[in-house]
Amino acid sequence: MRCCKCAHVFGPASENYKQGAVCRVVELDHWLDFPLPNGAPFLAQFHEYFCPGCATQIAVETHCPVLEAQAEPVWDIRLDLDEGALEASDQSLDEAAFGERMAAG
Amino acid sequence: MNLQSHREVDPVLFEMYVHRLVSLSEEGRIALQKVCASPIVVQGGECMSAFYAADGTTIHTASGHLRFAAGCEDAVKAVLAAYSENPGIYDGDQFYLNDPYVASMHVYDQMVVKPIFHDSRLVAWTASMTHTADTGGILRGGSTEIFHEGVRSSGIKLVERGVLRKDIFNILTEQCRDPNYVGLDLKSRIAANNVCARGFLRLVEKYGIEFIKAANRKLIADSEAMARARLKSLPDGVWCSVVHASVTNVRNGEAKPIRVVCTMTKRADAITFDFDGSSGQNEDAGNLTLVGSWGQLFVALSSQLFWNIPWNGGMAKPVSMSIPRGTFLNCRYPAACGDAPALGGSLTAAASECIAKMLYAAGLEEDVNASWYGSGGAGESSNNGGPGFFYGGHNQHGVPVGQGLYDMHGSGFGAAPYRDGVSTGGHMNNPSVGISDIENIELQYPLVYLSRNHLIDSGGFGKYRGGQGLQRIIMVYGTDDLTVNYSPYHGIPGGWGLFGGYPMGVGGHKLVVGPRDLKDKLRESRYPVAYSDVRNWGNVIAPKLPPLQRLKIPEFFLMADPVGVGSGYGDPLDRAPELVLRDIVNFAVSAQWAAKVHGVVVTGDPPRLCEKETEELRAAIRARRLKEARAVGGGTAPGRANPDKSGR
Repeated sequence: MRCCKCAHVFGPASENYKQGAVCRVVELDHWLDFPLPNGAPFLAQFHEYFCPGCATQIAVETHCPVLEAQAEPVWDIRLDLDEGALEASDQSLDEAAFGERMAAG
Repeated sequence: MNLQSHREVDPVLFEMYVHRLVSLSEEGRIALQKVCASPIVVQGGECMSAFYAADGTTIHTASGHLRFAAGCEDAVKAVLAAYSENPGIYDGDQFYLNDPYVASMHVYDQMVVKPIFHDSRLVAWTASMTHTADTGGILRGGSTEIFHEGVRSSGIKLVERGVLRKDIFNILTEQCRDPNYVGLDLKSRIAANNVCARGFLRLVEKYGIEFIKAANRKLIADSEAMARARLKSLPDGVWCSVVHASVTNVRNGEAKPIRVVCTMTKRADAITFDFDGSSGQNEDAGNLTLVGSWGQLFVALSSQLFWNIPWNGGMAKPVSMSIPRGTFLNCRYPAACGDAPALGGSLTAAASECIAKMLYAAGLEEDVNASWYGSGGAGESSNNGGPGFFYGGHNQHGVPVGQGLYDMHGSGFGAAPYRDGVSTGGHMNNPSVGISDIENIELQYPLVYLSRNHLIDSGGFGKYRGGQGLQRIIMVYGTDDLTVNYSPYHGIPGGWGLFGGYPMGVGGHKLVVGPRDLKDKLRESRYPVAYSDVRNWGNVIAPKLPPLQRLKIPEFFLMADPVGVGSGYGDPLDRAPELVLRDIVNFAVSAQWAAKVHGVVVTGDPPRLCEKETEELRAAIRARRLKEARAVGGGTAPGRANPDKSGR
């Protein structure tokens, strides 16, 4: 799985691509301009995932630390790929070939 | 698919019949809205008419509330199963049903189903449904068991062989606070069914009953075939979504986060939705029954995945749903379900995320939307923190009221991979919604609208922005007996952004404001119109109430009420600066947030783009992202954003 902007390799298609990203936790009371009207803490936070190559934001997840002690990224997309495709995705692609493929759209 | 049945059906006549059936359903819905007086139905459009086969399978559902269509199928089947022998089902009968453990979502979603007979044989059903806010139970927000929620029936014969049963009508209305309102809702459903049944029998007369039966079989079979073909054309795989919401902890009155976990698996021409991992059932009214959850899933299926396939029972055949018993999505009796629709939106949102990502993987970008259920800290639904929209008490004429105002139907739609979401587009529940008619509301209820407009900065940020929702500022006027359902603030965003978009903007929370000197200012024709300004007009009232207690709103107090928004698509730093400038000019985004989240700098009045500063700010934001973030793989804890709000 590659970034379509900078070709950074997140990892094989058989794994959660977010494992190859970087993540920043954002507390909502910092992100928003205003607190909750009763002064209570926000019960959620954003987990922002970026491509380590170009810093493009690829996903924003909402997490509630009260519910999810471990901030595991949601594995949101798992396409069924046949064995040949999985093998191909596990191998590093030639950069030029990737560039040609992207240019071809 | 039965090829023989297709050979029986002339294709030209079939198309004529189907179009006529669609029109008839619309006539039924219009009849509902013409007879009814409830603003929920007449203005909000919370109603539906549809047709069902003799065995209860949906033949066609009109525009109208999508989950109502699914609910009525369950109702028809329940009546067939329970009452075919005793009291029996006869020509001219109509049955009332509103038990969420049998059909639909909560006792306020009320159905009347009517068998259609031809030559003394049951050939079809028609059904109509409305949201009726008064059931005589505890006012919304206070129930902990289904028994608290008022009138509830798993099926009762309201009309017997064409004659309205006065005893049953009185039972259903006299337990309610406003029997006139409830009675008119009941009669509107009877009227809609009569319109639909008469029209259907004219079709039988025109085309013959054998053609009608074959055409109905074909309609259902075609929908199944089209749904399977659609699924087969999409990539196989597993998609997962987690959406959060909040309910009230009934022991201490505090917010209690919950979550929906949806795992969608698509293989060949079948699709399953598994909600294992979702939170357990709740002690307040934040629960759905299994049939209620199916209704919410039907909303996502019909509006997103099978939007161009006739909506009927055939469409649903390739779909299966699994929800562990004892979760809040499949609650055990006698859990309260009053808030089922509000929380059911989270189920719809989670299923929608999975569907959207599957459609994107198939390259069907025109069918892809980010969430239509985005919400800010307090969001659009009745239990997303602060005051809800279910008012109770007495109006300015001394008449008891127990009503909801459906400005939430002015929600924004999610962004697409190629365009912004539609602002105040409507609501995913219902393709034919409306919002409150201000003049009618002010006539019937002790409320004065001081403003209603798009809320700046509300749409989910992204390369393409989610649609803005509306906000309203309402003043209580003419009564000192008005309460509203109230839940603890929690700050959990609803919805989900797509591929780097945010689930919501920063529109604002629902507020109650105790005004300062408002009467004097009103004499000078001064009053708040902008949400951003409403706090300056008095003190924000945000008490910690005992669990499930409603909030009293004295006369002249203000309520500021932003509704749901569309979520964003893509990285906000990828939004074309020219589009951000247009957002600023059109009051969709403020200059402050244009800089903060899009990295776009403007100056002057009228605003102009500062291209060099924009380029520098965007570079700085990207650099800061990489500085503050941490690698995910290898068990490293994620980085944290520096709370410095500048230069984000």
